[in-house]
Amino acid sequence: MLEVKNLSKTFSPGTVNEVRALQGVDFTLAEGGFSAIIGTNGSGKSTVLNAIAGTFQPDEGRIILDGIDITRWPEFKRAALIGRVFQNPFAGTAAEMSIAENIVMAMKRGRRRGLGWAVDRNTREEIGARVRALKMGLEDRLDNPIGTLSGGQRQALTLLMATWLRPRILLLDEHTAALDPKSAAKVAELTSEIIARDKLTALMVTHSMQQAVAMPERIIMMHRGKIVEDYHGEMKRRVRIPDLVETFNRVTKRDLFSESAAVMLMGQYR
Amino acid sequence: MELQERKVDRHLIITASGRLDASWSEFFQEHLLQRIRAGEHHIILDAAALSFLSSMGIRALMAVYKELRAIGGTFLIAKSTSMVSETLRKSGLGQWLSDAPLPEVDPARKHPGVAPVAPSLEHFPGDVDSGLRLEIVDAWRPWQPVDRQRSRELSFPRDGFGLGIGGAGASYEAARNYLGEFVAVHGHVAVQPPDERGRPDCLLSEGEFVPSLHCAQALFCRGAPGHLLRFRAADDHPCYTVSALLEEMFTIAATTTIGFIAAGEIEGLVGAALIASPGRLHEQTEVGYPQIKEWLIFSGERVFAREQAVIVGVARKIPEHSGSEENSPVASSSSLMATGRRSIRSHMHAAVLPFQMLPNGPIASMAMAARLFGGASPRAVLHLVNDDRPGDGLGESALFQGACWFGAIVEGGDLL
Repeated sequence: MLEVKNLSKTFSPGTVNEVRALQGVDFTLAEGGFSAIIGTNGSGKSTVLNAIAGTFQPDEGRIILDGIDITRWPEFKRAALIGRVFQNPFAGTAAEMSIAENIVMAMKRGRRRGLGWAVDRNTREEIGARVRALKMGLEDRLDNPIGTLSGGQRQALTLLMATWLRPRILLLDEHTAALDPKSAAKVAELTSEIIARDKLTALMVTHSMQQAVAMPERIIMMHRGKIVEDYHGEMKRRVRIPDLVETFNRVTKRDLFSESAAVMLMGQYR
Repeated sequence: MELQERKVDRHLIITASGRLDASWSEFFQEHLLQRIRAGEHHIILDAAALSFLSSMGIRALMAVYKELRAIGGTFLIAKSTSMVSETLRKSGLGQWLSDAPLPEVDPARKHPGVAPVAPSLEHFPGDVDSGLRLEIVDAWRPWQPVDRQRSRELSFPRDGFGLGIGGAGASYEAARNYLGEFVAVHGHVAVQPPDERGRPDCLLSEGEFVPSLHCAQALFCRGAPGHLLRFRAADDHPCYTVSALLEEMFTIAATTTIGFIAAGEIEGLVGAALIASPGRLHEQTEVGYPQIKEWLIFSGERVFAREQAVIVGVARKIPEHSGSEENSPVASSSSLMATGRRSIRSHMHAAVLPFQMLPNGPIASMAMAARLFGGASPRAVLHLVNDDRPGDGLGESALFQGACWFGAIVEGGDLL
């Protein structure tokens, strides 16, 4: 279970570039729940993921993962608990190393890694079986450098590596956005399969309303550093893309409600 | 496919050359529906050069025919080749075929009693102009608590129209948390729940059922509007602002206080709606900025373009000699607000509905209400405002084409 409590972060405070990226963000992800965060550019959705991953320290608030307060933990220490897949399929893997070597590295995440990276027979068989489950024909290319694979193949392997050790939470940061539509659909399908099979707690940032509607059990909508809508349960099951668009429009309209508009409206309500 | 048009009297003659098949049917249908929307309700298809008609083409013709039939228009196919005639006859659509020669230029046909006001305005005086009796509920002045003693349950029979802030419920106590903007038009009531996510609800008069709401504010006109004004955007007049329409209505009605209904295609609406019920206000509630954002949602831009509005309002013309309207008793105490014209004050709410064509010419407001409210549910009910902020102002709401039904308020107008 992940508890994010009253999280706030202002970048470049007191300067002309001040950005109030998170303003009291508060939510709890149940154990084994798959949620998506959607929002406009600059809404703070990726900032939430980065805060959980420990990329920066929040100004206020706490992050509690399975009862452990990790708010002040450095990023590397959290890595043992958190699986992460980024938008760029070339991030998260070492291009020169083979598929098997990359996976062995992922298997040792959070543990001391010596030079003994040799892939023994049992490990190789396990890797082969799990790569075969991706149904991409990569099980016969375990010794090929990962840099020779397509973006979709690399992202599928990154997903496999990020979830190999069944992380306490899986963070997906627009992980299909840089892929072609066919590969994106394949990676999205694998994501849902792996999360359901391993009963992972997962948080996905996406720009795709189609993915938000189809994949997770919950949609958290952000705007200007705040949660403005939280679709879950029956409400989430009923929500469709036009509902999300309408909510976006409504939220955007609030920005147009300036002080001068308020003065004008005060005079026009009698 | 090539389409050419010419106007003869009230008919639009469209000459279609080429094949009306799957490749062209969508283009053809869209073009003709646009022409219907622009007011061409009598269309003759000159099919002399139409070489082929597929099932997709027939489907397009059917869409055009249905649209015209619904608004009392006519659709005929003239001079068709034997191939096209045969296809239509075998499909059971031979009634569209006409053997009559294409109409030539005729003297303009006029409806009896029609008095043209301007090229894009037509005035139809009603049979009876007995005036409207205004009933007022004035139990709420923003942003004070609702005066429970002055609030009233008001019923909305077919013989009237109005607007206000109210909610449905067995009692005021049951309704107090649901008070939102409403419009009532001849027994059809659309009420906006005071909730940011809420869709308007409809209460329709049926049999002995007469819709009613507990009202914190209401302006309800009983009686039949005595005048009809049809308006249509023209090259010299791209759209009609609500105050421009009101100016025309005042000129025709030759009076100072009117009640009106305007139905038409929206150029843009500017308005706001309650997102929290005024029934929740108490003595200590502060409503300034930014608290007002918890009570109102503002359109923020010109909204609902190309959809249908049914605007209901009450308006007063301030005599020129009364000086500045800001200092007049009307301005300071009434429930009427500034419009885009200094001499006109009004209170208007608009129900937004999916666009539907209205027949040309005279149409009864009751028939319009049954047609528009009887279809899909309203998308919103807005309190219309005149956003005259210098620089940022969105102006006032405007319509491209439509109809206004209006009459003089002969009773109760002095209480505004």
